[in-house]
Amino acid sequence: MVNPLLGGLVRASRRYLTRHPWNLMLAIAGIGLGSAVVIAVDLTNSSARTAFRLSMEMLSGTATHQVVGGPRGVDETVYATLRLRPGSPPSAPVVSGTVTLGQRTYTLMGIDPLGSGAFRGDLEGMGDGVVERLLVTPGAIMMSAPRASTLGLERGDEVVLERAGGAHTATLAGTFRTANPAARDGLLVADIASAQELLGRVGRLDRIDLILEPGEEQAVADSLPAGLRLTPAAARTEAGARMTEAFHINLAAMSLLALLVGAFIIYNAMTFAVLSRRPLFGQLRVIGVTRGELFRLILGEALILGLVGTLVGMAGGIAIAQGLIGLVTRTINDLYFSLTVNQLLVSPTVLAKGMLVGLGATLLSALLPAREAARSEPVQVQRRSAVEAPMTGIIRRLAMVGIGLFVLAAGLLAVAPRALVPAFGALFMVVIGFSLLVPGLLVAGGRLLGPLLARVHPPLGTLALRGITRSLSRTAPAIAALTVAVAGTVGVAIMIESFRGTVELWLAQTLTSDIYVSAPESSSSRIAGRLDPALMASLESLPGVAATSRGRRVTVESEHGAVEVLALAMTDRGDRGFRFKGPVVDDLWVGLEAGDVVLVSEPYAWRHGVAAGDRLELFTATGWRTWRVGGVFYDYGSDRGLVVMHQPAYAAAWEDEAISALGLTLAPGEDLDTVMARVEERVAATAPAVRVRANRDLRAYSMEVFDRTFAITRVLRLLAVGVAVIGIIGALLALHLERSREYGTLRAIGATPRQMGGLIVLQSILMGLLAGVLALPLGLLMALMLIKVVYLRAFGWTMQTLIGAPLLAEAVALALGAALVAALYPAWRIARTPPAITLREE
Amino acid sequence: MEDNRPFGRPPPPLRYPMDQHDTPNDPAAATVTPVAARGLTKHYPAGKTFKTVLDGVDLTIAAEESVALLGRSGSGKSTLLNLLAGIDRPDDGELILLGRPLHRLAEGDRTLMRRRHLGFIYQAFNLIPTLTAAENVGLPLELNGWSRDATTRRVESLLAELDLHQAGDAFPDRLSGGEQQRVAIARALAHDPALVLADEPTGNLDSVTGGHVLELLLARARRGGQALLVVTHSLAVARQADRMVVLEDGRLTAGGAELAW
Repeated sequence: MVNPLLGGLVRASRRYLTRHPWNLMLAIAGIGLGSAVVIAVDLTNSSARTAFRLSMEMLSGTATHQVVGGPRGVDETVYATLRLRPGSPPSAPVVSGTVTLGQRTYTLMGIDPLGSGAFRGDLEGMGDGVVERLLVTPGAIMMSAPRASTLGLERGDEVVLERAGGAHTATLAGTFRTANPAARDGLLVADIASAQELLGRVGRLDRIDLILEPGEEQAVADSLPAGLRLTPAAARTEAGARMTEAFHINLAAMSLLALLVGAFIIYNAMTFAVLSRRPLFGQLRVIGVTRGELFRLILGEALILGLVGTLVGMAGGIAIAQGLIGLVTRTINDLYFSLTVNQLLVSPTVLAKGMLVGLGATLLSALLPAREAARSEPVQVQRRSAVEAPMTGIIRRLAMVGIGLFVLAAGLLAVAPRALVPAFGALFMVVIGFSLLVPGLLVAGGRLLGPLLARVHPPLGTLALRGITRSLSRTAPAIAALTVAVAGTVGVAIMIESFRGTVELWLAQTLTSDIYVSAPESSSSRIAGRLDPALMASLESLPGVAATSRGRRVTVESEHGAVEVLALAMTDRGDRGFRFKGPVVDDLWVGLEAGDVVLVSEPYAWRHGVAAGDRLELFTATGWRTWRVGGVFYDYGSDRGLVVMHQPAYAAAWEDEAISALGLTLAPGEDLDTVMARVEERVAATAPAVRVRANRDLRAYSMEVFDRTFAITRVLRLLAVGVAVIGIIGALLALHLERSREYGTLRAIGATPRQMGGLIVLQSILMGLLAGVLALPLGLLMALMLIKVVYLRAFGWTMQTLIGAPLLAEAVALALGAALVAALYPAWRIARTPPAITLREE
Repeated sequence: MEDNRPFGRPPPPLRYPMDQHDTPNDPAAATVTPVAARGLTKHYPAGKTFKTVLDGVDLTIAAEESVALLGRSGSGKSTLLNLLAGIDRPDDGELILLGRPLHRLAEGDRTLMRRRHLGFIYQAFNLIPTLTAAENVGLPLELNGWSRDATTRRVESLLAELDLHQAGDAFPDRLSGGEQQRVAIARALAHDPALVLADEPTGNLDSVTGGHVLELLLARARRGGQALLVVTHSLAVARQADRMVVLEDGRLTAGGAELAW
């Protein structure tokens, strides 16, 4: 049977909220905003991960294993040999690359239409004469039926496929159906021979897919020629996932920052929803409502508010995520892998998680005020001071817990000196710890500012300041939210600026040539193309060129998994543009040129615990071979790590004489533009797809990619501040709604509307100023932890710490501006409300 | 039609404006009638119609006079007080405060009139919780632009006079009800207003404390030469004033009001 008293309580609660729509809206908006940002980042992150997985699955099909080679891939004759061997397992050749059709990038995958059926069960509709057409029509391709329909293409239509090497005409031979969105939106299928031709990889395969029964692996591996390896298909996907892991962790950290800001806002909204009804709760207690009933009523109400708020947050989160996904996939495309899916994939799991986070934060936020309201004596519940009195008492305890969290964070970093997750844990402990110090710091700040304000702006200065320091239950969470948001901005901005400065310096030191000539990339795995030897010779002999360097950048297998190798040959030894971290071997340059020493980049050394003097095994054309590590150099080009070796040694080990980039250094006094014109002229005549860039352009391009990489971080930062601003507006409104009677009294004794508006604005400015000033030490601390701990552990990069005074001033201005924006509506509202209304009893 | 207004005959024409007396502590201001209202009418919306809360109220309070305003709950006492204070406007009638037509003044001017010439005491004290007792008392002085030293001297003197010298640094939530109301009285009188409006000043206090507070208020107002309007439910309180008026169904009834009540 339903408790009749409970029904009455629920009615009283419901009517209170519907008669005070502002309170209701504030609570729902606070919860909605807090959860929206978390859901948005989580959705974006999970969409990018799913897109990555689907893209990998699209390429892998149902293969269990793959035969892979070195930088030049696999010779196609290996496939023929493998296939013709009696009792050989099902196998299929694969060559793939990225092409552009219209405005969109697609993965073009070459398969054996007759032999790949078992592998491409995910692509339906490959029968019906399509196979024949793929085989006999030159440049025949297939795409998914929905994509063909979107593009308005029908069988037999011609399309132009562009890739870095030039444009090719292809014919749509048919369509397939697939459940994989990556394949549906971004896959083109062609016969292997057509694909090789379109991608400029005639005679070569990326890999051979195999379906092996358990126990067959060893026999197949043993039968492979030297320079080829058998690997499980899943290993490729896992390696890819590892590749972007740090990036995703970085995004997750930003979402946690948003969650933290959101949690403060939810806490604010919920405490207001409870505190503003203290008189009602007092009356209920007076008429016999028990503590338990009151506690359950408040928590039940929080549950409902949380549900509604989180649903609002879900809608908002999906909308924000729609805007973020493009930025995230672009970054992944820039840095890691060509994703063919770039739409938002709304995952029910993420939404459920967001719902749990929103509800959890709401209930946790409601717990403290609900417990406090339920435990107080009826007469106390009706008094506001009853809330603030214990609040001042717990400031010391909060500060102690805050300091305890700092100590814990330090301990965590010491106990786990390399792991990333504890580093984030420590970072968040520091942020939460500092937030707990905020009430105490506000009181201290109030003591400092009080005499000044009393002298400069009596009596409103004192009123404004006391309004903050004597209502800490309301103002401290709001200021803490703004402090954390602005500190996050300061921390991340210093980190980005430090990183940017470091990369700029590194580029200036590393890019020692004046002109760079590079071959177009030719596949989705970014295997660099090759420059024509005759063209290189011609360019190297140009008048005005004093020195040259030749390079080839490829991906090879190391004992620690796939690694990029940069093979360099320089005519001018100079300092070679390397800066080393720690000691180097004595015979560094001699050993390097002799071909038995390699250099490893800092991220590689960090990830795999490699140091100068250690051994490193790489899989060459003749199998595994060992090199000596000569030193660890600073490199910010790849977070996956880079191994540098002498080009002739590389060419011998991988039987690959190709060069993919050429650097030209001008003789002193030569005019760059004149030599550039000569280079461009020769390139245009023989290989128009080859790219020519001046040193300054390459640097500018690198910085452009850098800035694009951090676009998402900047957006998330702004989102966190935006949430905090709206939170502050909510907090101010709540504060002022609560004080309307006090304002009525002030108006009655002669404060003008203008003075009332000024009081609100001054109070808000003080809140902004306090938040801005408090954000500086926290922001600096966050920046140091991001640079010295988090980014080092995530990516293995040592960065300089560059702290610009304008950036710090901007942070304070941001907090002030945010608070000022937040004050406008409450100031307008309070100033225009007649005192008779505010003084009227409820 | 019979004239039911409490004064029997229409009051003389009201005189205004008298800007030359518009400064506190001006001896000439004391010679002007602090407040004179004629035909004050106020309606409030009640669903689709309007309810008349005040219906042609006439009331004059002379300098140094204390008037008790009696009336049942909902009789319009607080509305009348709000109109006299200029924090609400009448729908009809005239209201002259110190010779100036308060009902015609713009919001800013009404605010300045309140700031300079009115003092308020509320049943719920309405002290500013974020200010100490001394700061609450000093608030009207600071709003009126008194210097820091002058404010401090005045506040100390008032606190001592009202036996609150120990309570100056305490915040309102640390004071008893009687102490809070004494602080409210000190705040209302701090700037020597011409008119003090007190809304149920003893309503939240026990009878002994209430009696003491009222005594203090009346004595201090008389000594300061202020006109005083006390809204109350209590005949005992009302009897201590120079004159009583009763508000019933939106109209003031006086004369035999004491007996009728």
